[in-house]
This record gives sequence, structure tokens and C-alpha cells, in this order.
Amino acid sequence: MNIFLFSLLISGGAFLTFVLIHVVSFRISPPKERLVFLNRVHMVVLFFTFILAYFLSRKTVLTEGSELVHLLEASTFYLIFWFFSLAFYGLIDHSIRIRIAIELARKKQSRQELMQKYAPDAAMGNRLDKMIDGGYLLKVGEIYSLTPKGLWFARIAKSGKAFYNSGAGG
Amino acid sequence: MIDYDSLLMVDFYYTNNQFVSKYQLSTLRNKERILMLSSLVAALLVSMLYLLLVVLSFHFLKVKRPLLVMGFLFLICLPLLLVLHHYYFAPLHLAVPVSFQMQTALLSALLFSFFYYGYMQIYGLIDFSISFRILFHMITSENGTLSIGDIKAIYPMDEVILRKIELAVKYGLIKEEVVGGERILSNKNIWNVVGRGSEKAKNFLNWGPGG
Repeated sequence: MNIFLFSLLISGGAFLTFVLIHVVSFRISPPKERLVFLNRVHMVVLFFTFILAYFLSRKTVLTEGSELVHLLEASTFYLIFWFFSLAFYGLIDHSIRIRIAIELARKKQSRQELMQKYAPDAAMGNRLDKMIDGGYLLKVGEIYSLTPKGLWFARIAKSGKAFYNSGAGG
Repeated sequence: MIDYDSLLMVDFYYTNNQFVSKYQLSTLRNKERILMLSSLVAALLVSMLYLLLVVLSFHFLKVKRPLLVMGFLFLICLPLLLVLHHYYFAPLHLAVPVSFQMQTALLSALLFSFFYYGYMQIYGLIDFSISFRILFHMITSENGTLSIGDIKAIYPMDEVILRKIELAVKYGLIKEEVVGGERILSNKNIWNVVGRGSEKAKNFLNWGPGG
């Protein structure tokens, strides 16, 4: 079998396994920290992809390439699938523009109606709640503060924004 | 006269559309491994060059459209990687079949694309993410804390949503029509498909309203 096809089949199969785990787990009981959960599933699947690529490449009649080649190629493909799945999740779940598209696909409406349905306070509150659930922020009364994990990411944000000279951004 | 090569060919293996001895197979596999690792090194070297070019352009030029600049630099570096792979590793290519050379070149390009994609994700997070902006304002505030009022003042979501609507209208994703004296927004065809598809995906995966 051709090495490219072989790697694509293994990584494609592994990615379908990830999708299946994702769908079943989210439909039964959605995890609180979704992104962390999805990344953990990816890590486990990638580990098994490694093992599967190694053993199958020894058993299959391959027209070229060693086990190392199959390991690297199958893993690279899977890593690309992993990143695309995260981008898809980010786009569908967090994007304001997609949320507006969903609201307008349901019904044509004016800006005022749209702003009532997609309440800005709720949109911000949703993000702050997720940051608390993710362990980045701590809320005491009406005051938000950084947790050690949040401080670490805040430093990345500060130095990253300084590095790109991009202002506050967002 | 003893043919020592034939003595080594006890077992035959089929690879690259030919039968080879165990010794020949082992030599070929070793060369393939070296070429494979060279592809990795090539991808890493070009990724470092890409990063250097991004740093230099962000520090010495006034970059107005960063995503465009980064995409342009990627398009410059990709052929450079293939040239590097083809010429610099040419001695290694002699020993392995052309199909394998092409596949290692492809893998090199895939790895570089993967690094680029990862890098763009990090950039997007730093420059566009609302959560990162909240963290940024929190660490730069006087005592490292913010109230909900402070966050709303720094980041007025209503303005952000209105800006996103304006941009969607500007880019032709949403149209605005006057119906009965009122300005009504609606999705254009493709954007409507995106909206419906996203809603179906969210429902299917049980993600909640999100946004």
C-alpha cells in the first residue's frame, strides 16, 4: 500500500474515533471544561494512532517507507486534524459573527431585536463564567481577580501584545 | 568465482515495485529514515526563518494588516522549503525512489503548514480573543482585579456586536433592507447556510447557545 494513503487512512480513522467520542460524550453529559476535555481525548487518540501506525506498518505490505516514516506521517496528519477541530470548535462556539448568523438564519430582524436576543451583558457574562470554570479567574462578590493559572496566561497576553505591538486588541 | 551478493540474498522482500535482499532493504530503510528526519529539519529551519521574518516585519515596518503579511510570508517560505528540500538534500535523494522523495517533500510542506497554522492560532488568541483581552486588562490594572463595571467600561460588548454587524454588512455577508420604515437585517445566501449549519452542529453536539 502507498505510504501516503496508509498514513491518511490511519489518521482519518483515528480522527473519526475522536469525533465519535466527542459526539457521544457531549450528547450524554457535556463536560464543564470542554476544551480541556477535547484536548485530553485528542492526546489519548494520538497516542493510540502512534501505536496503531507502528504495528500496522509492520503487518501491512507497504510499497515504501519504514515504520518511523509511517509514524511521523500519520501523526502529522492527525495533528493537523486536531488543530482544525479546535478551530472549528472555537469558530462555532465562541464567534460573535457566527452567533449573529444563527440568530438571523432563524428570523430576519432589526438591530434592536438582535441586540435584545443576543444580549451584550449575557455574552460577556458567558465568557467570564467560562473563564471562572476554566480556572483563570476568581470571583469574590462583584470583583474578578486572576488565579495563578490566569496570571500565567495574562503574562502571555501582555508580552504577546507587546511583542506584536498590537494594542489591547480583542 | 563466488557471488557474495547472491549469498546475502537469502530472503526476498518486495518494496518500491521490486524484489530486494534483506541487506538491500535495510540499507534502503536507513536512507529513507535519514531523508525523513531531514524533512523534519527542513520544516523546522524554514519555520524559524518564517518566525524571524515575522518578528523583523512587525518591529521594523508599520504592519496595518498583520494576517495578510503573515499569509504572504508563508507563501514566500513554502516554495523556499521545497527548494531547500530538493537541492540541499539532493545527495540523499539519489538512494531512494522518486515517489518517496515526493512524499517526504510533501511531509515537509505539511509540517511547515502545521507550524504556521499553530502559530496563527496563537496570534489569533493574543490579538483577537476577548478572554485574552480581559486577562490583559486585569494584569495591567493597578491591583490586578477588575469589577464587572470596569470590564464593561473597558470592553463594551454592545459596541463590539454592532461593529461585527457593520463589518458583516460591509463584507456582504448580511444585507440590510428597509421594510415598513424599519431597517431589517437578514443573512445573504451563503451566510444563511453557515448560520443554519452552525445551529445544527451546535444542537447535535449539545454546545448550547455559545457566542
